[in-house]
Parts: sequence; structure tokens; C-alpha cells
Amino acid sequence: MGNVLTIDERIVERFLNKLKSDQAVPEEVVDSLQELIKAGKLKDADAILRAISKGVTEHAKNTAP
Amino acid sequence: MRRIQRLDVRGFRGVQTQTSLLFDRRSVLLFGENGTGKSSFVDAIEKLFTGKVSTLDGRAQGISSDRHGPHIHNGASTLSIAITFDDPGTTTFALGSNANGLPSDIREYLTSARENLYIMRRRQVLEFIESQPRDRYANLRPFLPLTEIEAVENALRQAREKADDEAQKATQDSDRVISQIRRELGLPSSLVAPSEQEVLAALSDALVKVGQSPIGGIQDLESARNNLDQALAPFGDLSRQSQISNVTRTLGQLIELFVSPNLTGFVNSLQEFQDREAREARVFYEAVLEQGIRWIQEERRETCPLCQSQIKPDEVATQVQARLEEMREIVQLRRQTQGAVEQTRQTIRSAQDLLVRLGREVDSMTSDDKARGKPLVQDLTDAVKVIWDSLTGQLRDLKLEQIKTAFSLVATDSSLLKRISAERAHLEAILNSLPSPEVAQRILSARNLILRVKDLWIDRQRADSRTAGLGKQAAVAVRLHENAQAARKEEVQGIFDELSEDINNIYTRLHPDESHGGVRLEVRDVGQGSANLKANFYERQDEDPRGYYSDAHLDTLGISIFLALRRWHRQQRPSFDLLVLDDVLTSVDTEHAVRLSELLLQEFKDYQILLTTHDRIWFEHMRDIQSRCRVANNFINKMIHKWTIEEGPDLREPEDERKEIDRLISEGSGKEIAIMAGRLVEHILQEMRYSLRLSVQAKRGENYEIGDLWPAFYATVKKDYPSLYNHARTTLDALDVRWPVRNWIGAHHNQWAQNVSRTTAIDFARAVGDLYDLVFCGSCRRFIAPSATPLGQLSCRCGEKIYPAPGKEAVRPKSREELIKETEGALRDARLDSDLYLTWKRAEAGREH
Repeated sequence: MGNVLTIDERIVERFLNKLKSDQAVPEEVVDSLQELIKAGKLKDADAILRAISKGVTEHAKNTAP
Repeated sequence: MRRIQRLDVRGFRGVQTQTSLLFDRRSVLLFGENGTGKSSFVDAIEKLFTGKVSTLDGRAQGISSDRHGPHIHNGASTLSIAITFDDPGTTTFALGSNANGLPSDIREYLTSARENLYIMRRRQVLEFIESQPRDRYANLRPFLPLTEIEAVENALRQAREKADDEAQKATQDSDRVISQIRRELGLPSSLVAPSEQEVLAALSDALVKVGQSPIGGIQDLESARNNLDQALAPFGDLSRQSQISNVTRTLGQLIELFVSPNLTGFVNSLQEFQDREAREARVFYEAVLEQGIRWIQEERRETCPLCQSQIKPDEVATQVQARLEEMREIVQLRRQTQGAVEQTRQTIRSAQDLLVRLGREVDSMTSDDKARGKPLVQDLTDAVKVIWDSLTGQLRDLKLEQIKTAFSLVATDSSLLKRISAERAHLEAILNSLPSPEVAQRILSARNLILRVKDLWIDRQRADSRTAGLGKQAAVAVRLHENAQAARKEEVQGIFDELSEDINNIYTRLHPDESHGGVRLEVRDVGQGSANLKANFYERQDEDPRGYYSDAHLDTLGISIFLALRRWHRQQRPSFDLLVLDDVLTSVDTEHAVRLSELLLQEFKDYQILLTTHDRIWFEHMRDIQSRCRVANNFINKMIHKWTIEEGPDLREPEDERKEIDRLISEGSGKEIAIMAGRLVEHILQEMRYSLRLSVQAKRGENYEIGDLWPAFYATVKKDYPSLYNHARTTLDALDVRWPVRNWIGAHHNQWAQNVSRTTAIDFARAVGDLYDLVFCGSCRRFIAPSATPLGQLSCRCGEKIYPAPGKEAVRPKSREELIKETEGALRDARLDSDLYLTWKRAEAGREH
């Protein structure tokens, strides 16, 4: 039997899928958030801010001409 | 899976003495007329498990289960509620006890029971339907296990707000640096953000004035400074002059700032606004009115969002718009004042920056030169802090007097401003006394300007870059939060769809072949959480059911929603199976009530149900249906015979009272015997009152006693049921004489009755016992009742006790098996179909009449 996701987990999965298809959210931010989810820190506003900052900075580096 | 074995209550609500409601791990159907204490047991369960009683706590100010829960004749000290479970150790959980040491399965049960998602009361039936979308979502919310994701959403919202704050602060920092550049270069404030070219032009102008070449780019500032240094070299060491010149300039900028119109004018504009608001509008809650209009219009509210009073939405919206229009000038003034507050805060921040710079510049001076400057910097820093503190908070929080006092510290005639001017004049005098020709002074000023603007330009670039970066982060944070909200709403809609399907299944089962249903719960886009309820009615689709459904249909819809929610919640906590329905079938007719009974007994047979009702007919139907649904063994059917303030609900079974009489005849006192015999005869008469439809003079509270019931019973049996009368004549005639014994000895303390002998009490009790044996069947545990056919026959359910109709043979009631056979299996094949049952019942009623 496969793992049955809880409602919370289903929402997080749906949330990530939405982010992946959102052009306004850099891929690097999604990667940082996924790391945050793995670390169980998605309820920490400061950790989220750091993840956003890290993702945006990396995105700027990766897209710099 | 644990179940309740017994509920014990004492001194709570309508229960004064220790009373047990025995579950024996089965469901309980509890009948009692209004005001006989049924809900006291429901309240007790809720109080024990949740600590609250929803019909008391939060209902109105001053009403609470702590205050109004204890029985009115007992203090809270005698209150006790306890539930005993069916685990091997028969664990008991009592009110006020700690669950920590209990077995894990009991703790799990208690955790599940902590939130009241399993009790439905009569007054709650329509609550969900009648509530506003936001409140409806709030009602649904406890059923949805979203705690984790709500915490995530909350964190994302906080991150969004923090990112937004950071971005705003960065923008303000950038604006402040720009205004310093403007001030250094004397650029007009109309240049909101001077471009590099405009800055270069101003700097070139200053350089040209001291005989230097203009510069073509910011990168040329360093070479311009070198050129100026070379120009100053022939004048020797001018470092002291440079230091004094810097401090003098900064002091001048501070004076300029403190006397700037936005600072001096601010106090006046704030005063004007506050005076105007006090005079014309008191406090004018513009935001409340705007938000109120939005709620009323978007959520189609029919009650005031603040006080819940009924309103006419269109009228209120029009009035509020008119009021907002009337107050347009104040609204405008408020916005201007808010803008002035922001501008003043920026000015004070600039002053703080200048003071930091001044501190550095003063420190770099010689000890003689800085002797007066250092305390001045400290005093200025303190004064600016006082001003800053006076500006903290929302516009409505600002205290005019406090602000006036703070601002007076740096007013034109203030001692501080005089000290700044004096210090500036003092330093200028020193500067003029130093050996430096005027031309050197001008070159030195140009050099200092170049250095300052160079630093400020670097600050601006940093601030701009930070603003852009934080702006991007803020935009991403907004998208994260919006995506999380959308994900939650979509998932919740999925749950709502599942729920809607079940609500619909339940509802259409209660109302088959009726052209409505299609019940649908929808997550609304507005707000954090908001839910719409839609349904179909004939060709009308997606309508608010309140617009078309009858009260009875709304009742069954409310019950359907609750049952679907309870079933959904059970999926999340399969080991918790309690379901309590407290007298929920008030306006539902018999036909739909029977369907609901069948639904409960079939689809909720794996729940432990406490079902209370004041409807005698439904109680009897329910007992019938238990047999049909083959769940009779799952149920204990209890009847509250009577209720008194002193004794509470009387839940004793007649068999127990019968046995007790025999015991008391051997060892009890005359009074005890009479009391118990009186109770049993009252018990019998209450049953007979319904089954024989005795004609009794109505009494307030329907609290009938022997004296009210016996004459009607005796007369009816004698007249309408002669075979019973003939069979029981000795007993009935004896009781017709002896029934007052109960009142002489047992119920009232009449002095003259004290001499009634024990023998008389025993005679009375024996007659009551005989009557009981004549009218109660020990096999089917039912009292005799009139048979549907033939008329005039009395029989118990199983037919063991029959008193035939006059001149007719006894006719045994048909068993279910016989009926199935007679209908050629239709009853069995129909799988307990309600329609067939109702048809059969109607046919029986028709034959009777």
C-alpha cells in the first residue's frame, strides 16, 4: 500500500505545484522552500524570509548577463 | 474501540441526586417530555469532555456552565459527572480529574471528544444554514484538520508582511539619502529623485566656481578631490579648518531641518485635524464604515457585522455611503495629516542621520574645539529621541500635547536651537581667525562637498539596490502567500465537494422523489475563510435554500449537514464513535422522522448514539424501527417517567421497581413500601396514559401524579376494555380504594396519616404488584397496548399477554417473519424500505378507524 497523504500534506504538495507553474516565483525560491519543507521549518516566518532571500539572490546570479 | 458503559451525574443542571444513565456500550434512545432533564445528560457529557456547555457558555454575557451548571439546590461542591468506559479496567473519567494516567485508548477517546463535533442540539439545527458565510466557515473549520497548514499559511503571511515592511523601510532609507543629497547640493525638492546627470551638474557647478574642471561621471569624483587637494597644498595644513568647516556645515543643515516648514507646520495640521474631527464627527471610523460596507455587500449580510442585529443591507450601504460623503473633507484631511506624519517622521530620521554624522565630525576635532560640541550633540540626540517617541503609533494614537512639548525642544526660540546657532557662530569665528585665505576656504568647502556627495552617492546606490532586492523578495512573498491560500481553498473545496455529496445522499434519502437537493458547499474567494451553501429547488439551481425550502426541509437539511460532517470527521478519527442528537426533530413530520430513524439505525449503526426526544410517537416508531433494522440489541430505550426539582429525572425501569417492592415488603417500613408502590403505579399509569389515550385534565408542566391518572385509567379500562377489567377486577377495585395510601404515607407528611399501618401499605403494594404483572410482559418487556386489529383488544408486542376484544377471539400480533411471508418476501426484499413501512402503518391506522 502506498503512502496516503494527509490533508495538510496534500495542500503543501498542491502549493508547491502552484509555485512551480507561477512565472513570478523563481525556480531557486521553490528549491529553497523545498529544503525548508524537508527541514520541517515551513511554519517559521523568518526561515521563509531567508529562503526567499536566498532563492532571489541565486536567481539573480543565475540570470545575470 | 472504546465505548461508554455508564454516565453518572449528580448536582448538575436538572439532576440533583446521583443518577446513572446506563449505556452498557450500546446506544441509548432517551424519551422524556419537555423539562424532564433529557438535555441535562447531554450537557453533562459535553461538560465532562469539553469543559463547556454550548447552550450556556458564550450564549450571553453572564451565562456560563460554571455558574449555571450546578443544580440550583446544590452548590458546585456536590457536582459530579463521570463516565465509565468498557475497557477491561472499567476506567472512569470524572469531571476535574486528570486524564494523564488513563489507558492510552481512553486518552485517545478523550482527545477526540475534547472538541464538540459530535453533539447536535435542537437550537443548532438551523445554525449552520442561517449563519453568514464567514461564520459558516468558522462552524465548519473545527471539522477540517487544517491546523498544520494554517500555521504554514500564517507563517507565509507573516513573511509577506515582514518582507513588505523591509521593502518599505529600504524605500524610506533611499528617500532619506536622496533628500540629503538634495540638501548638500541645494537642489529643489521638486527633484524627487535627482538623476546622476543632475547631481554631476550641481557638483560641476561647485567645482567650476573654485576654478576646477567640471566632471563627466561619478567615477571622476576621486580625481576631482585629488585636484582640489593639489589646489589646497600651497596653503599648508588645513585639516583643522576642514574639521571645523564640516561641523559648521552640518550644524547649519540641522538648523535648516528644525525650522523646515514640514516640521513647524505639522503640529498645526495635526491640531486642525483633531479639532475638526472632534467638532464635526467625534471619532469618525472611516475604516470601520468602509470595511462594513464591503462585508455587507460582498457577503450579502443581513445582520450587522458588529452587533449581529438584523439590518436592511441596501439601506445601510446607502446610509454609510452618504455618511462617508458627508465626511469627505475630514477623510481628505485625515489623509493629508497621515501624509504629514510620514513626512515628519522622515525629517526626524534625517535629523538622526545628521546627528550621527555630526557626532563623528565633532569627535575628529581637536579637544579644545569639541569641548562644547560633544554635550550639544548628546542633548540634541536626546531631544530628537523624545520627538521620535511622540510620533510613534497610529494617527488616532498621537497625543497633540505630547508632540507640542517634544517639538518645543527644537523650536526656533528653543535653548537648543540657540545653542546650535551659538556653536555654529563660535566655530565660524574660529575658522575666520585661522590663517586661511578666502580662496582656500572656498576650495575646502568644495572638497568637503565632493567627499560628502561621494559617500552619499555610494549610500544611495546601496539603498537603491537593497530597495530593488527587497522589493523583489516582497513580490515573491506575496505570490507564496497567495498560492498557499489558493492551494488551501482548492483542497478545502475538494473536501466540501465530498461533504456535499454525502449531505446530498443523506438529504435525498430523507426526501426521496422530491424535486430538490443538489446541496453544495462552496469556498468563497473573499476573506480568509468563507463558505456558501447552495441547493436546487425544482428548476432553480444553486439557490440559497432559505429562499425556497420549508422550515421542516431546512431542519432536515441542517441535520443532513451535521450527520455528513460527523461521518467525515469519523474518517479522521475512526476510533471515536460517539454521536449525540438532542431532541433535533422538532418540526420534522412523522414520515421524514421515520426515514431519519432508519438512516441513523442503518448507516450509523457502528456509532454509539445518544438520541433524545420529547416526541412519544417518534419514540415508539424508533423502537419499532430498531426491530426492523435488526439493531434492537444495539439500543437501550429509556424513558424519563417524571422529573422533580428535588429528585431530578426518574429513569428507573419498572422491573427494578417491581423487584424492589418484594424486597421492601419483607424488610422495609410502611412508608418505604408505600413510596415504592406509588412510584410503580405512577410508572404504569404514565405508560397507560399514552397507550390507552387516557383523557386527563391538562396540568402545567404535564407532571401528572396518581390522583390525576388513576380515575381516568380505571374508568377507561372498565368502559373500553372489559376483558382486562374482568380479569383484573379484584386488583383494580382494590387499588381504586387504596391508591391514596401513597399520598397519605409516601408523598405527603400528613400528621393524621402517621398511624396508617404497615399492613395497609403492604396491601397497597401487593395490589400494585398484581397490576404490574397484569399489564407488563416480561418476555418482550413491553406494556400492553391496544392492538391495531381487532379493535378493543389489548396486547403486548409478542402476544404473550392478550386481553381479547369483547366477543372476539384473541388475535396474536404478527411477527416480522409472518409479515414477510404474507407479503411474499416484499418486506424483506424491500430492505426495510420506509415507504413500505409507512404504507403498512397507514393501513393499520385505517383499519383501526
